[in-house]
Amino acid sequence: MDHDQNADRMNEEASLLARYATGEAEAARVLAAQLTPRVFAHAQRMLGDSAEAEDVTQEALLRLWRMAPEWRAGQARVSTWLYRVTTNLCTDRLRARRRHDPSIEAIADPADPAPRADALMLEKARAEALRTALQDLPDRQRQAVVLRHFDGLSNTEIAEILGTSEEAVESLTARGKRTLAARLAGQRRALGYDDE
Amino acid sequence: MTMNDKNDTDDWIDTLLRDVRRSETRDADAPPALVARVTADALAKQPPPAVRAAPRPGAASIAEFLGGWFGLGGLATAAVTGLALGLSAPAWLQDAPWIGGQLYQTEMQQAVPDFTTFGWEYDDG
Repeated sequence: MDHDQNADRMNEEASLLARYATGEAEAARVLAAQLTPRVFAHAQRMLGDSAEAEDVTQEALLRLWRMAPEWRAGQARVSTWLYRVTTNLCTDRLRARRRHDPSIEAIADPADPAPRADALMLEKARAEALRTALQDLPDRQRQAVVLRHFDGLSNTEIAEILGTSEEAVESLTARGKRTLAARLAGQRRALGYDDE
Repeated sequence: MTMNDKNDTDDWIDTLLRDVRRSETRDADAPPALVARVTADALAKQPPPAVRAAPRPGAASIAEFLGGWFGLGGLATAAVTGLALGLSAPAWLQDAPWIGGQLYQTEMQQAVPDFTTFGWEYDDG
């Protein structure tokens, strides 16, 4: 996503949140309609589970509604704040999973992603292979890759969300992609990316 | 791993990430039931609209005419000050020739004819 568009969208969100805090019902509906899909998509990529992603989405947005009256314009961007909350909630869930089932790290290989004639099926195979490989990444690498490549955020924004430096974000993203490449190397051709 | 290998790795993973992102209908994925729950939360937690006092047309329009509430305040201050001076002006003010003192009295004596019991008398000098 173009960063100018991102900035416009973030300004619009701040304005909507201010209107929400004054009791404007329409602002509540618009914010819910705009933010829910984005938070849900991010949580789903982080967790790889729709039901858990729904819970996280509802909880993250509930926190936004609660703090809206205290929101000060310019203190942070609404999206950045929301991504940070969502990321932390996802991290908590992932840690809880590991506590309950340490073997969760060893995620089974995805079903054979051999390309089908149908391009749609190839897309689904790619998405599924990537989703599974993403789940294998360490949390911080996965967060950086998802925020950069799916949510289209800049390194500056990701650094703010993860509470680290831009250099660390670059390193996390690069290592994450190398791990993905190693994980998916055996399926590269099957996913339609010739290595010749 | 050589530099070419690294670039090749980055290239195809970048392409895969871009292809998957493009294939996703990112902002249309949330289940409608989830959007409905989130909207219900938003409305339930929303602060009530601020209650504003109903405007009073009479007072407001007078104040507006006199320059707003600031103008009205200035007018009230001037009125009170004038009343206080009229009731109990300090001695120095009473003696001031340009206000109520000698100069005023002298000019008034020159300009205003004397009243007598018999009517107007002009001093033709």
